[in-house]
Amino acid sequence: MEQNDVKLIACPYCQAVNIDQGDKTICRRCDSIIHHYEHISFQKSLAYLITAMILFIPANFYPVLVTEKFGVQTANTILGGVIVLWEEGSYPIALIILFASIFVPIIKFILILYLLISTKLNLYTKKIDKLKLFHITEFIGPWSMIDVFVVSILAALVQMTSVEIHPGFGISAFATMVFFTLLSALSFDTRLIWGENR
Amino acid sequence: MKTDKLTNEDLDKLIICKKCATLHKKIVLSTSKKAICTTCHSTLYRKHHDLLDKSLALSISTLIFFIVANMFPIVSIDLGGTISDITLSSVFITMLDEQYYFVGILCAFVIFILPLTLIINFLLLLLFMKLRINEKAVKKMLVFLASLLPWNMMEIFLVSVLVALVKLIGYAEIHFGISFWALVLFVIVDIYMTKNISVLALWSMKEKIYGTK
Repeated sequence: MEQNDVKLIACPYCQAVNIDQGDKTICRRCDSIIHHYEHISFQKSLAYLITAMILFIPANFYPVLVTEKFGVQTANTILGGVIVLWEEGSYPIALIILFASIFVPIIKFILILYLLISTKLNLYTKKIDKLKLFHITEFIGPWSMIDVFVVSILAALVQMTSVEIHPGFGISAFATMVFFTLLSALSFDTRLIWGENR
Repeated sequence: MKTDKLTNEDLDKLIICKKCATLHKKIVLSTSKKAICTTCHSTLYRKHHDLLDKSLALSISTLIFFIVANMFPIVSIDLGGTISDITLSSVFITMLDEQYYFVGILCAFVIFILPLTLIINFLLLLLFMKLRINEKAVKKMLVFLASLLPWNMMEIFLVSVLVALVKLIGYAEIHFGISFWALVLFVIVDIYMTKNISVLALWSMKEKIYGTK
């Protein structure tokens, strides 16, 4: 990004190339303010991430789905639902849910945490690799929403006299967790990766 | 390049890769070719043919698909004679009824409010550009568009519908409604648009139409 001594940055909104004027650069094309508060971006991202990690615990221990069959209630946690699907023989769906609801959040926690710590402590890795990691987290992140949607769809669809499906408390925690991981990735500034030598 | 005398024209000739932040000099492309980043091989920009008319047509079709997707049931199930169905809005209304307010609002936002805002924003900005009016509004809408895009997850909702149905196979008879197919078409056009029409291309089109300031 350095062109001789002038630092060039791309506007995050319209991608126009701008000359970096320090703390507050105003994009010459779309007039958006290109913030330069990297430390705030770091802290925001970390705070959202920690919130999400805490919420991940109740999201996994409380049931996300309560099935009421002829008055008998069975509650399923996320992992419980995966096991039921596996036992019923729906292996691909069991794997999709396992991946989207459990692995994706964990991978995201690890990757963002790694990116934050390694940029802060200046650990050596190729910057390109770090950017790739970041784009992976950005790409896989929203897929955790699958479980939230599935529970909402099932709760809306299965409202019979004999069988009823209700959401469980776990889904609130889970949805909030997904929301905060998304915020964490959004507030992570890729300039953190590039600015680490200054 | 002189260091302290970079004019806007000089800057316009440059492009920074969105994925890996490598600085490139823009080159002139022939129609329907694309420029690729030398470091990470992601697409930098394309040379479009009739971008404005094409995207206008596509966004009108997404609007139609979205309206249809909201009017009819997505799927219905038949469980021993009792039939029940869902529409797009009943998905989040049920969650609100069950007093899961955060989940309900989040779902309402990502599967209803956001897609609708996105389409209307897109449609209006293209229409303004087509008529060459209201440059200020176009600018604001382009910035707004960039901040909405990360929250677009209709394709994930579509996959979720399928996952939910697989869970019900064996318990109930499943019928797809008209809205399901409208939703499929909506997602296909939506993915095509996000893949092919970049915010950057829209900005350069805007500059071509209204001139640079």
